[in-house]
Amino acid sequence: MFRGDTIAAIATPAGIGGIAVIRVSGPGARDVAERVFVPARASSDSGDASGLCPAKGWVSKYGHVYDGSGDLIDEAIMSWMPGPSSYTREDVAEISCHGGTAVARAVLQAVLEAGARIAQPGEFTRRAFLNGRISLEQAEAVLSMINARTERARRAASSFLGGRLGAKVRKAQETIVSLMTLIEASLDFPEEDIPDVALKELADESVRIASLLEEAWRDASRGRILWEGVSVAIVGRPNVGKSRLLNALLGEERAIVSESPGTTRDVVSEVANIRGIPIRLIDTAGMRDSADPVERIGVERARTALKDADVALAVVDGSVPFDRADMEIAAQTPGKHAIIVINKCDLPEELGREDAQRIAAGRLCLKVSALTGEGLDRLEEAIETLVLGDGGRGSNSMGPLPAAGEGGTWINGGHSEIGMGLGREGSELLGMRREDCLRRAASSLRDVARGVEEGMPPDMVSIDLRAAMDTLGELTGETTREDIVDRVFAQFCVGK
Amino acid sequence: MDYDVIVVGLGHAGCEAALACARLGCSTIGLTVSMDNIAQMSCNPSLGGPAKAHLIREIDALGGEMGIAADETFIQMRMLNTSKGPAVRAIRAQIDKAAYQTRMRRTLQCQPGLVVKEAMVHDLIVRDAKVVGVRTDVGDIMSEAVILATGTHLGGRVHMGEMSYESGPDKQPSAVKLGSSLRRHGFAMNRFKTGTPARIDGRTVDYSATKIQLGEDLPCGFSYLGRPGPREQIPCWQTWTNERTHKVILENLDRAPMYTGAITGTGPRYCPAIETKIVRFPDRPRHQVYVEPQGRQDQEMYLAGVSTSFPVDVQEKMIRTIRGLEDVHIIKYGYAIEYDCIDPTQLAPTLESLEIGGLYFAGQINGTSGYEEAAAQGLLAGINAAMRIMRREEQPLIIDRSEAYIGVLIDDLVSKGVDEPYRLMTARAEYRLLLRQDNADLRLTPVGRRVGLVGDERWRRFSAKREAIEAIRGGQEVSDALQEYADEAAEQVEIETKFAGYIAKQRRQVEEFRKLEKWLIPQGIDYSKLTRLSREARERLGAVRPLSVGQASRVSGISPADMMALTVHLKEMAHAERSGEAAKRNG
Ligand SMILES: Cc1cc2nc3c(=O)[nH]c(=O)nc-3n(C[C@H](O)[C@H](O)[C@H](O)COP(=O)(O)OP(=O)(O)OC[C@H]3O[C@@H](n4cnc5c(N)ncnc54)[C@H](O)[C@@H]3O)c2cc1C
Ligand SMILES: Nc1nc2c(ncn2[C@@H]2O[C@H](COP(=O)(O)OP(=O)(O)O)[C@@H](O)[C@H]2O)c(=O)[nH]1
Repeated sequence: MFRGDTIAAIATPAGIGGIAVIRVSGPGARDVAERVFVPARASSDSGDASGLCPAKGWVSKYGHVYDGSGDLIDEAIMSWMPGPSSYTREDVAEISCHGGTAVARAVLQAVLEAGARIAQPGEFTRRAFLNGRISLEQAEAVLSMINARTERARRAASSFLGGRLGAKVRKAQETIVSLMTLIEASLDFPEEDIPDVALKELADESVRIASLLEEAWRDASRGRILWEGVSVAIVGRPNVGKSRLLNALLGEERAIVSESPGTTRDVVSEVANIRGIPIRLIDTAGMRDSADPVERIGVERARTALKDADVALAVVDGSVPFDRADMEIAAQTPGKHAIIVINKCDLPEELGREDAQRIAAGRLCLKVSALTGEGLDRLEEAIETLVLGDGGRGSNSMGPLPAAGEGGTWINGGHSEIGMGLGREGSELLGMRREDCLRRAASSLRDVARGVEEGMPPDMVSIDLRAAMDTLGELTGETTREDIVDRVFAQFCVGK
Repeated sequence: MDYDVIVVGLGHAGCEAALACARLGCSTIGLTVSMDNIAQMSCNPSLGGPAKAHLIREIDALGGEMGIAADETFIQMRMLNTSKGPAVRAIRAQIDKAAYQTRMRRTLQCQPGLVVKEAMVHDLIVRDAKVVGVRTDVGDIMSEAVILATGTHLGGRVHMGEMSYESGPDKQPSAVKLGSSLRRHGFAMNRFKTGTPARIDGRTVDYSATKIQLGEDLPCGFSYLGRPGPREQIPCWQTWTNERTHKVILENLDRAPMYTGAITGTGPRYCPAIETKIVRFPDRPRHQVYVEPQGRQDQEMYLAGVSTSFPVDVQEKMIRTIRGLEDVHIIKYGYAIEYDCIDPTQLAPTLESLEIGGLYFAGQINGTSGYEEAAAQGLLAGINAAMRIMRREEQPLIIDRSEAYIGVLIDDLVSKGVDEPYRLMTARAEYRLLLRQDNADLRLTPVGRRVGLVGDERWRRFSAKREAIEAIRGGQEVSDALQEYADEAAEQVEIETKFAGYIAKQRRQVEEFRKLEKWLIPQGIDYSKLTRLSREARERLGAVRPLSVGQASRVSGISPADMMALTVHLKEMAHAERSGEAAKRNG
């Protein structure tokens, strides 16, 4: 069995959510737990001779977490899962404290002081895998399950919805559900005294909620930067192959690739799985001065994206002679987190070695071909090193600690073993899903209004309203079809 | 063995089941407590409305009987929801109750391969987890399969005010022994309740104080076999309760079994007794009441909207406060009936018991309510029982939620279960726009043909309509030979075109849905060993035994984490199997 040292991480996304879980795994987990956690009413638990962390069986205890100097940090629940019946097959302690970044970090700090080291992203899952706890397929299944657009993972997502955003979404949902109830009652019970749906009002309401959701969506994407993880900006002159590189790293066609310079007008952002780390790749509009206003906006956004990014890939076309612009762009990337990518190495080399070195100015410089895939391996490796190594961490907009360790609580608030395998990927995908849901719901609502405008009957319009409702339901984990039926009966006196 | 199939009960479920079995070549016997209650409409003498008309059309498209019988015997027909869109448009008809029963009884009696008998079934005969016959008051009858369609008779108990006695509907005997037999065979049961209003003498209604509701001359009926013959339609009459009615009700609540605790069964929310309506919706100043004729030859009128179990004196007093009914004479009083039904999650999507082979359940015994719901289940149970006997090598008929309301109904029953008498609504169908009453034939007639219930005439008409649709789609004139179908075909094409965007959306949703439906779960799986699942999930899944991951996700009490654990397990199993095979090959 793989025996590592003792690792710890915050297992819940930082920032939002009511509860944060700090997970500790390894031979020292018991020591760590006993050092930081004091159960309440320990004396009345006298029948429990095995103590806080018995050798067999899972236990959960309520108590308090103290830091190294004996100061109280928070009240908490400590769950003890001794190996091999834990997720990693090692001894695992999980401390659930109040959410909120400050508290969670203080607890993690205390845990680290008590002898654990900070876990790398994916490390819990790696241990579980190494110890034969889960198969590779399992991890895949777990991820594909999150991806599956089904009613499920939403409950998870709902934990992110505790705050202001959550209130907004829930209000929107409530309004939609009421509208839906009115429609369904009138469609299913035409012989009862139920007023027909006022379509005009329905359209107005839909537009209003759509705006609300769009606003929430913008909020969400802003908030996401807090906990999402690493972003990598791809910069370079037009036509050096940024879009193609992004696609190559993603492994799928996403950004527009074209022969005419400047086609990638806006910032395209996608999450790639690079060596198991979810990394947000940001492809920027070709950076150059342009008269086209749309393109200029794109360039502006590219600069911002570059500023916010943790790592920059400065792409240079190796099949054309040296251009000062390449050097200028590369110079704009913050020193130690940039990789200079000399692209198109499948073509005859025009850019001399010296030129390349001038552009790189001492930074890591790699030759690749986005077209053939040559050199991409090394590029991925370099990104991984930057992100996981000290260099990457220090620049992280989340501060000195990684925000997400291994996802855990999102599944069902606790210690479902299977739920622990999500890691960073889990929180990442959920964040994206959250935005995606908001966007889709808003767009369905706009379809409702459009349908009404085009004179569509209520049964048609209801399809889009239903889609909006289901989409928000995915997010909050609330409201199913059955709820509408219930509401119809609660609100209307129907039937003979 | 005496017969291939025994159908117990000849209500709406039993009639369809018996006919389907016989028509598919099984020697079939239908048992009923009384020949007089065959296809009886124990409540309103009407069929159709949203979701229910859809069901009748689907039954018809598959080769069932209800639509044809309704078209022959209706006395009023209307189209509801005409302005609300094609998905919810629905035919509703008043039926001549007696004529309908006579018509159905004749159909049963003329059906080759089918006999009927008056007999009270007391017990099932089960051998090696397989049903082999039934015990009745007139002796044992042996068979390959049994379909139970006993309606509200199981453990029936009627309530009327202070009075309460063991009885089936309409003073028929309650099937007490069969109920305990099912319990003994291990079936979990629910106790539900339903009720019916008083029937009045039509001569004593002051029609001038009511609002008339006339029938319409529709271009179609329920059945796809052609437009029903012309006839004189009979009106219904609308009136309303008022404050005085409500006062009588509120003053007498202490005598309503609903509120005295005498009734413990769960009643349907969509069909509340008038006393429940007043209590639950105290702000409503009035509730509508329809006086519905029960038939051409009948002065007895049905009083829709005032179902009740008050004692007779309160019923008299209450009804007489209603405008137009001041001097009314009551022929039969309203009553509530409590009855046992099985928890339908004990059934496979074929409506066969998961525990006892060859035993099928259909109709109200499964916790549903409504004639159409019963008939639809009867048809499916009949088809599957017959296929089990005659065509073992073929897959049974399972219709999914994206194909028909029948699929929605059965999936809801066997996956989610019921906690009140279940009524179908269009709101329950995710893909409502695709499941229209105007295209049930296009959806299901090919299925019915394959099964063997769609005869040549129906098939000819269906093919002709399809041809006409093709012609219009291709921008051609509809040929003279197909003129009869021109309007219907034009309607299809118009809907397809006008709502193309919406239809495309729903089709995409269906594709998503099918992905999980197609992910099948091996049936031997032992859920108790899947320790990653919560205990509740293990129990629920073990009981329901879903066929697919999609069905599993709809089982009540299954959490997202459970689904995740289940899919992981399925992948592991598939993987183990693959590597096992590889090992075999190599070794
Ligand atoms: C009082 C009352 C009120 C209702 N109100 C409504 C309503 O408002 N709305 C609505 O949609 N639906 C209502 N219904 C329900 C509707 O009538 C039923 O859902 C439908 O008729 C059920 O059909 P079925 O074929 O399952 O059973 P049924 O039509 O009840 O037929 C049962 C058959 O089984 C036979 N049988 C029973 N036990 C035995 C036995 N042991 N041996 C042999 N034969 C047996 C009987 O003779 C009968 O032929 C009501 C029913 C009742 C009784
Ligand atoms: N031969 C070759 N062509 C490439 C490579 N990368 C990109 N291209 C081509 O260069 C052109 C510009 O690429 P694109 O990704 O749109 O550049 P962007 O403007 O920087 O996003 C396209 O025609 C690509 O197919 C490469 O590695 N080798």
